[in-house]
Amino acid sequence: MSELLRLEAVQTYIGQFHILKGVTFEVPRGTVTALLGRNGAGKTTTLRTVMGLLRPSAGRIWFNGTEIHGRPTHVISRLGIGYVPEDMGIFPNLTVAEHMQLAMHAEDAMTRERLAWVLDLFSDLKKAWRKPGGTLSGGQKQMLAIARAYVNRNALLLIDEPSKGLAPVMVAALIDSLNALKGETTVLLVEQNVIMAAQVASHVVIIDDGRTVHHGTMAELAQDEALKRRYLGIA
Amino acid sequence: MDLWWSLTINGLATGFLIFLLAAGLSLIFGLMGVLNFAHGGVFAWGAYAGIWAYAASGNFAIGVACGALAGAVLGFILEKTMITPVYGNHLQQILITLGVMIVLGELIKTVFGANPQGAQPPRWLAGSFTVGDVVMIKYRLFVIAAGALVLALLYMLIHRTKFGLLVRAGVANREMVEILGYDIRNVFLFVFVLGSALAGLGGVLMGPYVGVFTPAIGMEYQLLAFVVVVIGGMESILGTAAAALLVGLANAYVAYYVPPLTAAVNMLLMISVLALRPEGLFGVNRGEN
Amino acid sequence: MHRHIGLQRLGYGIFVAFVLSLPLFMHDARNQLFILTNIAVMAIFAMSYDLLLGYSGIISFGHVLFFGVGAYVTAIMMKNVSVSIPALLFVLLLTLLITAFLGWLIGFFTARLKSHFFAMFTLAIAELAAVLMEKAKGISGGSDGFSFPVPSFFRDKLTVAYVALISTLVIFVLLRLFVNSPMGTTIIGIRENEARMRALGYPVLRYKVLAVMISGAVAGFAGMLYGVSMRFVSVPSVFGINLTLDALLMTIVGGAGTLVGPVIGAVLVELVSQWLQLMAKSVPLLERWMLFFGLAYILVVLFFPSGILGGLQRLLILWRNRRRKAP
Repeated sequence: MSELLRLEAVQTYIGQFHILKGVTFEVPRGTVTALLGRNGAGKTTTLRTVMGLLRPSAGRIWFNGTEIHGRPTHVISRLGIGYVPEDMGIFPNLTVAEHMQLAMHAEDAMTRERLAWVLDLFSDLKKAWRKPGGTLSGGQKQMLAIARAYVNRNALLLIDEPSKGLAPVMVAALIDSLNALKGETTVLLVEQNVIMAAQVASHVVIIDDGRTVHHGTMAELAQDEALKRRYLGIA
Repeated sequence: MDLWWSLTINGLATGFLIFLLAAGLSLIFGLMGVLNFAHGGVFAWGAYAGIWAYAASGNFAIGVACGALAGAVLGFILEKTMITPVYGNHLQQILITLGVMIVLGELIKTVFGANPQGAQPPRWLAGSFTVGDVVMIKYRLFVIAAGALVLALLYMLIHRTKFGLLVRAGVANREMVEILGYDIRNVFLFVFVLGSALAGLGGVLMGPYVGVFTPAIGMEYQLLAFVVVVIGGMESILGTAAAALLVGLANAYVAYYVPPLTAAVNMLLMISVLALRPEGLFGVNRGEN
Repeated sequence: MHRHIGLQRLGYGIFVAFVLSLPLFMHDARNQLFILTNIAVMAIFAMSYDLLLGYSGIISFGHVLFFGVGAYVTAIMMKNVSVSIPALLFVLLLTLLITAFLGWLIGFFTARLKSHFFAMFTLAIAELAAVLMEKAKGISGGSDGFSFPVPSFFRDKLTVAYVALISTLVIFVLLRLFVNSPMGTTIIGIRENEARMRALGYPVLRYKVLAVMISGAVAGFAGMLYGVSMRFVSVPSVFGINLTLDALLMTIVGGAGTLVGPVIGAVLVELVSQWLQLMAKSVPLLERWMLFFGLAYILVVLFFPSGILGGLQRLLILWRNRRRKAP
């Protein structure tokens, strides 16, 4: 089985609104896959459904060969899926150190080594180590949110719009970090910034109005102007 | 001066008793968003069960343990049967916990009778001694010491342990705690049981402090605890403690110096806080509505 | 809301006929007339509560404050000023003014609070009022209370019962008109989605305060009616928190947000509590009838959050659907 995550005809309601009307795709192991689509297409809802924060009304989701739909979020998380939500989910009252302490699932040598690696990647966090989350800058918050997901050797990371509101230099650092993960960690990335997505992702899934409409490699998409125009509003 | 001292000791003792009740109320509200109107009923149950065990065993420590245990058991049952099914629905929560308050009060009358119940401090805490001109009533000092100890332990739990970290994180963002791989429901249950145990403990300590009480004591102290959580905000344990002591002291001083204002002092405190700082005197405005 | 209408119209008809014929059946039994009057008073009080709980989504635990004020304004005026019909009309005006003003005051201070705080705050205010009234024994008579005369017209129990029942109907119609008016629908809209109504530019706070005021005035009227029918007031009987709990119970059991629900709830709760109290003479456990009430109330909130009326409606819809499916 070459895919790490597989969604099959997933449908999700939020209240009475039918948001996902049939999402089917696979995320190949060891790749960065970009989930693209217009605003309101259902990208965030897809990630939240995978994470168990929303319960799908139909369809199935496999992670690493096990069915995970309908399972509680904390169980899905422990299976090895890290999630960086769009709002980053930083606790304003907890220090950076406390964020990392809470995020680490184990306190063994391997995790500590991993922590050191993450902090080298985002050295800004070391400087803000004792600062409460509420006082961090937007870029620092984004780094913290991503560092939190990196620190456990998660097999899969779901990252929702990491480049939103970041300065270009930060985006570059983010791209470097994602490239550093390549090979050992699989990433599903929601991104509005197609240029950034093109720099890190090898595969692409496009959803429109709650349905998957395209599934392929980044190279294909780069050449398919019609597709880009139709679903992403760019040329 | 000696009068001022004895009023202060009195106020601090009352304040710490209210704190034991208010701590659970604010923890549960802060974390779970549940305003527990049954909390005073748990307090009254702690008082009745604890004092009953104390009388039956002749041992005050056993009575105290039973009071806290009764609170914890009630908390466990309530969380599992009443709070879980209506989780996230504020209206239903308030209505349910209010119903539980009625039922707990009536159950006390059924089990222990509706007549006033008497309670005396154990011999080693009875009586008083003098320091200079000031008469120190032993049991009041004991209540202060016990309250301060609980405050210290609670502070350590919240700020120095991983569990406390989970609680503080959960207060800010429950969903993110789940995303990080922790079952927030377990945290809820533990906090609810802990808060209820503290209420039970407060109840049993209150018994010998007031000497005679009735099932109405639950509502009486619950109102004081409400005033405290409004004043102290619902975020920090220190804010709750400060507000509880403020209420205790204000009541003690006003009852002596301005007796006609006694009934109104809590209301005046609450109204002034609500009018000036709706997020609580020591609360942090989280900017939500 | 529209799907309620069919059942409600039928309900109204039966209700009106029932209510108006009742006193005839009970002409001899003074005690039954008394219970009937009490039901009517509580039905009005519960309807005023429903305006808050069911229509505005506001939980008040201090509603008895308005009831108590109405009862005491009546009692004090009748005892100390004048016993006459004009005086009673003046009492009515005074009660409505005072309770509406109190409602404005409380609403002004607290309507911006979240539901929890409002519940807590109103509970504290009502308890404080009870304590203050208890302290002011010279005026209130404290727990012992005092009795007072009423105009001769209201001395006949049958008359009082009719006045109470007709008042219930009138109040019901008035409240119905109000909740169907643009103002009422705005208040319901705020209950449904406060943020949206605010975004649409409605002065949300002003509408909430208005709901508290109207509800308070109606509750004050119920208190006044209580005073006139009892010719006696005491602090526990008109300021006790259990009255608020009764209104809450009646509204929840009958079905919140329907106005008919609280009336049904009042009938049911009053009759059952009378019956349980009667039974308690032979079955000692029933002395704790409040216990069973509390348990029943919890079960209703847990399993039938829309009350008896809601349950009936669900049955009716089921029945209609089945009939439609049949050939």
